[in-house]
Amino acid sequence: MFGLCVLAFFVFLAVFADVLVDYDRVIEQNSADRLQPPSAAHWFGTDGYGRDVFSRIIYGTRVSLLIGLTSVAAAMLIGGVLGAVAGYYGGVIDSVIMRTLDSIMCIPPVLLALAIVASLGPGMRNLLIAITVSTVPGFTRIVRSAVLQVVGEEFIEAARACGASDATIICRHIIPNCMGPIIVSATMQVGMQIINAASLSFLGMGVQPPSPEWGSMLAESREFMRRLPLLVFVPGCTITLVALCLNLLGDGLRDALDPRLR
Amino acid sequence: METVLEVENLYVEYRTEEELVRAVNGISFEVLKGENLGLVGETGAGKTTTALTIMGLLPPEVSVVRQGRVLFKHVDLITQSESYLRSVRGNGIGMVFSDPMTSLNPVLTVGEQIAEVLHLHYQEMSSEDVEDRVNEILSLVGIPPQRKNEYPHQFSGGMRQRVVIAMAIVCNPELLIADEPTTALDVTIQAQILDMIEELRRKMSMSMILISHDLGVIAETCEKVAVMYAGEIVEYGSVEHIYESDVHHPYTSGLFGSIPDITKETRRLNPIPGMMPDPTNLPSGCKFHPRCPECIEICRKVAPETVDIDGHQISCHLFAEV
Repeated sequence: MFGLCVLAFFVFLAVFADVLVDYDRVIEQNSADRLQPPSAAHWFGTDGYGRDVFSRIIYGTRVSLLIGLTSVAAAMLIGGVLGAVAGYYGGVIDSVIMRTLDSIMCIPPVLLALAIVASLGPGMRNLLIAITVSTVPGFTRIVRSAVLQVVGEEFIEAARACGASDATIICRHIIPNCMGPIIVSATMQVGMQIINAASLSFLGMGVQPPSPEWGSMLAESREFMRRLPLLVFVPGCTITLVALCLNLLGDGLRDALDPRLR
Repeated sequence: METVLEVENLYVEYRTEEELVRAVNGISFEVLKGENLGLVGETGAGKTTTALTIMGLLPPEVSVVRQGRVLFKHVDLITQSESYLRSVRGNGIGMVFSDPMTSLNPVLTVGEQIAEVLHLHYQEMSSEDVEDRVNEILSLVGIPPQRKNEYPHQFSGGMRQRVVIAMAIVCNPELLIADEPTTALDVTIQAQILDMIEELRRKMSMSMILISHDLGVIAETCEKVAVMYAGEIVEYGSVEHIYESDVHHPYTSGLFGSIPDITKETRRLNPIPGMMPDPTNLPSGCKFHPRCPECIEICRKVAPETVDIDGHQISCHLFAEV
């Protein structure tokens, strides 16, 4: 519940970022105001370019949540289709899909994402592609295992005996019965994706300045860590808080959706 | 009378890497329009395999129809394409599974599940017509139509079986295959469900194949009975032939002998000695000979011919000279 409330707050920030702060304050550089401690004008102080950290965090919410949700949605779609097909048909199709994904899984995800961004060039779109590709294998496995559990059920046989085609069976009978584990892992994955995106941005491969993103804010404020630790502390804590809340939400959803725990 | 289903000399095998399971070994029977055929036999006699073969629902990786034809309205289903079979399933032939607890999808309402069958076979049907038909079929199986928006877990076992039957007959199939429809239900509900199936069958002039290991259930509902043993039909005839005649295949006699008599005190049941033969290693000659109390020399070597006594067919050497 705590997770849900805090997340609702962050979603609110992301949606109404325009109303809450002026985008000019986010990118406006002001060398006279560099590295200010917190004050009434700048609640979280200012960064090395004199930009208001509070405004940047709020706009960063929009960027980070967008990255998290889009990449998970894309990974869910691709992984969902692959996992459902692999689990339903089994045999050779299953082996081909799963072994290909296993080989992708062998590469550490951050390294894979780095390689993709490095070859495509940095930027928001390529960052999304990179972190999506590196999470598809995990998703496919989860969906496949959920499908395998449902596929042996008698109501699938019954649906076939009523004349349903494979596509109907997968879409109408299998996927709805697998939604529990899929939703739970997707929720948790959003948090992971935000962290992944932040790490890539931290490494300079993600969102490009002056767009505010929590990871790149961390990276930019690294050199001022000793003079103004708050600069590192604020984006770091925000990332941690959002990721924690998403995990709590995922746990809560699992408890709510898993009939065995009820 | 018109023949709805004709099974001719059907052989079905399951092949795995280690072994070959001969599940159905040359069975033939036919079902006339409006007729009710009972298939009886022990577990593993090939009853369900027969049903799945008719539906074309055998697991494709391991099963092979080695020989034989399944003619539904004079079309051989064995050779037809998957899309043709799909149009027959649910529409021409309906199937009721044994366990109503698992044969309904838990995340769809019962109304949606019945409507789905209609959508599959009548794409052009308007949603109002589908709605009307769902209401009609629900009241036909004895469920108040206003319960159609409830989920399967809100129904009891007997009510769920009614829903399963509604799904199977909503498209007015010519043939209904009921694979042990009452095994998972308690005895009072069993009687209700059987009465209902029988009433619906008459009303809709459907043919039916009732699969059961319960001789009582078969006696009550069927007109023709086929007794299966180790993938073969050992005895076939009208319900009077099977239940009232004195001539029987020794296996059928054994089955009746194992039912306790209600008028006598019985301390122990009289089972048929031995076990169903291993379908990967069937005995030579008559498949029942290792358990048969009347086994003679020829039974061990030669498979018996089917003897026809006024439509009462028995596959046993004992009747060869009759």
